[in-house]
Amino acid sequence: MALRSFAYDDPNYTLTRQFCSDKADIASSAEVFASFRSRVKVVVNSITAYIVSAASAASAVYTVLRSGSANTTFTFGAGTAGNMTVISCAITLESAGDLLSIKSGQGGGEYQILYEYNVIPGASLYSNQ
Amino acid sequence: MALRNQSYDHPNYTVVRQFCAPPYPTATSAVAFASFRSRVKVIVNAITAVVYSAASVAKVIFTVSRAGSANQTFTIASATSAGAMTVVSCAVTLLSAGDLLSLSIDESSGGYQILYEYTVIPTESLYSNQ
Repeated sequence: MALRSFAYDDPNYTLTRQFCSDKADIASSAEVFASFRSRVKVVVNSITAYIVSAASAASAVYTVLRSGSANTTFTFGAGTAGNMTVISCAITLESAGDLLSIKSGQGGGEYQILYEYNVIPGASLYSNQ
Repeated sequence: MALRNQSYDHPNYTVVRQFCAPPYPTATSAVAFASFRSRVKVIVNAITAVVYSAASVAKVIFTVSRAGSANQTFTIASATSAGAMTVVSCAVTLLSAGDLLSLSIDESSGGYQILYEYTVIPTESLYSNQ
């Protein structure tokens, strides 16, 4: 299968994609979860964090890590199960070596993370087309 | 929502999709991981394996299995370095959700993350509200 580039306005580049992480059961503060990678260069435009089961504190700060370095943070308005927060961002992942993940601000609770992203025009995808 | 067929050149069939498997934190030899299925017929065109945490040996061999049968193998030559990766092109067709794509390795150390690139094969019917 060949590597292919497409026109800038090809759906391969204009389509907003989603990635839904596995549910993460957080045991301790500073635990890293919801890892996401892409072989091709992408920009992550939005992150939605959902509380599956609540931890104790509502004010904990969660940190978005790009390859281990803090990029942005978010908090939940309320720490109850079913609550969620959506943040917009512009985090570029250059290759599969760049890891996007979340660092928990507290121990306890279960979370699920959704990422929305676009493949950046010029990136070559493996295709049988 | 109804099942719909689209034209051959519809983006549903031309877009290359990606699946990022959850990290496999501590490898166990010969145990399947990074499983992937599709309800509709797809062709997997590339597999990327990234060393998440370093292995204790440099060379690890991955076996790609389709529905339990070995399809092909590939290696990471420097698995003692976190962040090392390899990309292998392939043409593995999954006919339905009954076909399981998975990997296994020959080593019981290191952690790995796997990415699949795949395309839905034209004429496949997808559930759509369009």
